[in-house]
Amino acid sequence: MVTVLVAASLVSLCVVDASLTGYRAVLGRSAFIHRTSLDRRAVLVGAMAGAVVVLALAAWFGGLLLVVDDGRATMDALTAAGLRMLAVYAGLALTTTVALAVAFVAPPRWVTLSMIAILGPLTLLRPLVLAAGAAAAAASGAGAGRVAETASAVVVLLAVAVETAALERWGGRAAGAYRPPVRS
Amino acid sequence: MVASLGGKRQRSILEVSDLIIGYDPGSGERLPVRRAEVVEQLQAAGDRRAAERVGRLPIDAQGTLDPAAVDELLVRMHTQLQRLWEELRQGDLGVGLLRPLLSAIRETTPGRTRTLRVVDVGSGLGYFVRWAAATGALGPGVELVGYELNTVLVAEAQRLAEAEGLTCRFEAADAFALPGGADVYVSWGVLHHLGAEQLPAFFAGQQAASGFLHWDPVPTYLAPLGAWVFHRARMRDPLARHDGVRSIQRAHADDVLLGAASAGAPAMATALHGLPDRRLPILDVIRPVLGVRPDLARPFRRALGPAADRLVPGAGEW
Repeated sequence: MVTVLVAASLVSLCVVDASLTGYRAVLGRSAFIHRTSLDRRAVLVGAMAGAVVVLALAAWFGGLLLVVDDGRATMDALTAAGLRMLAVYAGLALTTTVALAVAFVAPPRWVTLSMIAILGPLTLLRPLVLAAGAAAAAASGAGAGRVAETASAVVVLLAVAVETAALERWGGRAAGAYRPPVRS
Repeated sequence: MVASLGGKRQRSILEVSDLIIGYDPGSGERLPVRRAEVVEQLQAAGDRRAAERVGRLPIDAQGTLDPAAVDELLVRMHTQLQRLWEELRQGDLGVGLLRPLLSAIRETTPGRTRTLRVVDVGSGLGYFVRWAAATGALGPGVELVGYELNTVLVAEAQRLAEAEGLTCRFEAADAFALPGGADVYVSWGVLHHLGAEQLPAFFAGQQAASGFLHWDPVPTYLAPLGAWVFHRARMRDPLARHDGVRSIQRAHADDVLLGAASAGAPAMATALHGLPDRRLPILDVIRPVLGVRPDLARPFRRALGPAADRLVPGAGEW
C-alpha cells in the first residue's frame, strides 16, 4: 500500500512538474497578447512528456526488479528511497502551489511578491531541488539495495533533464509557429 | 517623504541595447555602429562580461554590427522583457491609474466626447498599448498610440497588433512632436535610460498634455538582488538578463524623478504613486511619477478612490 501511495505521488508530481516545464518553455517566446491556445497546448505537451518519463521509469524499475536477486527487499528499499525523495519534493510542490494560487487571485502588488520572491527563485532552484531529492533517495541503505537506489536516482535525474531540454526545444518551435486568433 | 538612493552611479552603468543601435537624432535614420566602440565603452565601464558577449555579435568587413542580427536580438530581448511585464501585471497597474485620470479629464470638460489619445513613449513592442487594445480595459473613446525610435521594434509591434486585429498603432517618431499632441503620455521603463540632467527636458515636452504617467523601477535595497534572481529565472538571453539587472541599477531615486518632473513641467501638479513599503519593499518593483493639469489634481484624486492614499505629492495643489 505504501509503495503504491509513494509511486502515485511521485508520478503525479512528475506529470505536474512536466506540465509547468512545458508552460515555461513557451513563455517569453511569443509577444502576442492572446496566447491561451499556445499555453494550453504547452501544458498538455508537458504533461504528455511527463507521462513518457513515467513510462520510461516504470520500464526501468520493472527491469530492475526482474534482474535483482531479492525483489522484495529491493522493492522495500526503493519505496523508502521514494519516500525520502517525496519528502524533499513536497516542500517545493507546496510552495509552488501556494505561490501560483496567489499569482492567480491576488492584487497586483502581491502577485509581484509571489512572482519575484517565490516563483522566480523556485525556477532557479528547481534543478537543485531535483538533485537534492535524488541525493536523498540515494543516501541510505546498503549492498544491493543501495546500488538500486543510487542507480534509480541517477536514471530519474537524467530522464527529467532530457524531458526539460526536449520541452525547451519544442517550446521554441511551437511559439515561433504560433498564430493568434484574429479578433474582429 | 521620498527616498534618495542611487543617482550618481547611473551614468556609468550601461545597457547593451542602448549601445548596439544608433539613430540620427535629426532624420531618425539608422546609423552604423562599430562593434569595437561598443566593446570599448563596456570595458571602460568595467563591464567585462557584457563586452565579451558583444564581442561575439556578428560584424561586416568594416567592423560594423550586422543590422539584421542586432534587430533579431533586440526583438528577442523585448519579447522576453514582455514576459516580465506580463508577470508584473503591467496592464492592471497601468489601467489602475489611467482610467481614473481619463475619467477626471472627461469630468473636467463637460460635454466633451472627443476621443482621448493615450501615447506610450518608447513603446518597444507595445505590450501595454496592445494589451489595452485587446482587453478594452480603458473603455471606449480612447485612441492608443505607441511611439518608439527603433524602427524594428515599431514594425514588430505593428505586425503583432495587425495579426491580432487590434485597434492601435505604432509609429517611429518623436512622441512629443506629434500633430495634435496627446491627452496622456505614459511610458514603462524609459526614464532610467535618460540621465538625471535629461529628465527635466523629457517632462517639459509633455506640458501641453492633460497628464503623464511614467513607470520605472524602484531602487530599493532589495532591488538589485531581486532583479538578478528574476531576470536570471525568466530571461533566456544573457544580454537580456544583463540589461534587465542594469536597468534596476540605473533607476532614478524618488527625489530625482519628482524633482525633475516638477522642474520640467512646472505648470503641472506632480506626484509619485506607491512608494515602497519599507517593511516589504519587494511588493513594489515599479512605480510611476505622474503629472496632471492643476485643475485635474482633485478630480483625479477623487477618481482614484482608496488608491489615492498611495499618492506622494510633489509640486502643485493635490
